[in-house]
Amino acid sequence: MSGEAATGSHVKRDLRLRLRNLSDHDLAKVNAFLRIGRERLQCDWNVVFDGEFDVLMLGVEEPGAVLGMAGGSPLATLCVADAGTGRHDAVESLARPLQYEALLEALSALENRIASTPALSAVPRAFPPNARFRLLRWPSADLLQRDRDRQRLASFLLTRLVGLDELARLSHVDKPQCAEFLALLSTTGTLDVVAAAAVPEAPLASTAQANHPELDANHFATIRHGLGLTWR
Amino acid sequence: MAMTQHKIVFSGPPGAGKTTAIAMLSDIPPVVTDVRNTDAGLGKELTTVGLDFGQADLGNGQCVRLFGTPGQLRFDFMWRIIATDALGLVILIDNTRPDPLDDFATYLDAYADLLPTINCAVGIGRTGECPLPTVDQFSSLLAERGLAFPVLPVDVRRREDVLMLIDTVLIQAEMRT
Repeated sequence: MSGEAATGSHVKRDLRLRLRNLSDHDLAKVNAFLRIGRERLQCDWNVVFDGEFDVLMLGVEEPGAVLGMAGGSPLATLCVADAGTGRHDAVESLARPLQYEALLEALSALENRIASTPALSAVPRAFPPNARFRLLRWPSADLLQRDRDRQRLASFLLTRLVGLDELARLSHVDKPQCAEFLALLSTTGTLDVVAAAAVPEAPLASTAQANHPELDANHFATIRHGLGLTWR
Repeated sequence: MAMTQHKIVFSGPPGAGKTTAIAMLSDIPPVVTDVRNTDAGLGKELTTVGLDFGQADLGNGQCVRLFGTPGQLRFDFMWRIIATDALGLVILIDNTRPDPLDDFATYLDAYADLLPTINCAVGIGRTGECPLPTVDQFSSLLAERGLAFPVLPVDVRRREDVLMLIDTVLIQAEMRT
């Protein structure tokens, strides 16, 4: 199952939409409609063609044939069939030629339905005791939401493994907020989580650091103060 | 008391806002080496051919020296010279240029041997005018190269946006001590 992009109200949830048995024309339309309608949807819909997925969009000859063809275990299946080949008034079916409004309405209805299922509800992530964390890549803009605390927390996680207590201490961000952010990151596949005793990691000296051996916490405080970095 | 100097370098293609970003932080009028632009494709009257310089006084004999590299590719030999020994590198990208991802790749190539160890942040400008490529596409380009740096949408005319880039650089430096 895809990750939730947020446990709060800021960030959209990620949903993976697998497209199967659709013509190139329909693929292009779905991609274009998702791009244009992004702001209208509650979730971030990411098109995938293999691997795990949350919702299957399946091109079929007859809407009724979908059950035996779907495969996998999607949370919902949306079938696409030519107009006139069956009933298209159900949420789970769309008529060809694909229409923008119809697709967005169907996806919105699915979002509401999926959101109410326990499978995708917010589940607090349990980390190993004294786990340490490091980001494998910079998180998505949707997740960071131009939030300075999140941007700063992500920056602390880039260079080396950091524990929750250390993250809170260095960033001056409340520990529960740090924990929530880590839980959020853990749903995106961008966070490396290591049990405390697994790897004792020494600080990683950079070339720049090697040329600035005098730098310590006081120097960084002086630089921040001097530049007017006052939000933390 | 000996003066402690820290160097932060702004790099990026022409028009990305390096001179403006330095002006946002500098306590002195930035020293610029702008000349009249003869490249019509740049769409600006002046362009930097040497380097930009500004300075922020921290008190107690400390200062941050801010350098901007010349944007045009023919001066790429200067980029690494300027960035050597820097506390941090900020790469600014103008998203309204024809191929911002290619611009970014050019700078990643130019700084390839420094990037694994330097403290770096990437600012993507004018995303309001040109939302594509997305900020995430720049992050993905970094990830493809095994790199992870802050990639932030910025308006370099806003001091707090420039400061945020600097803060993320300082955080990386702090984490390496």
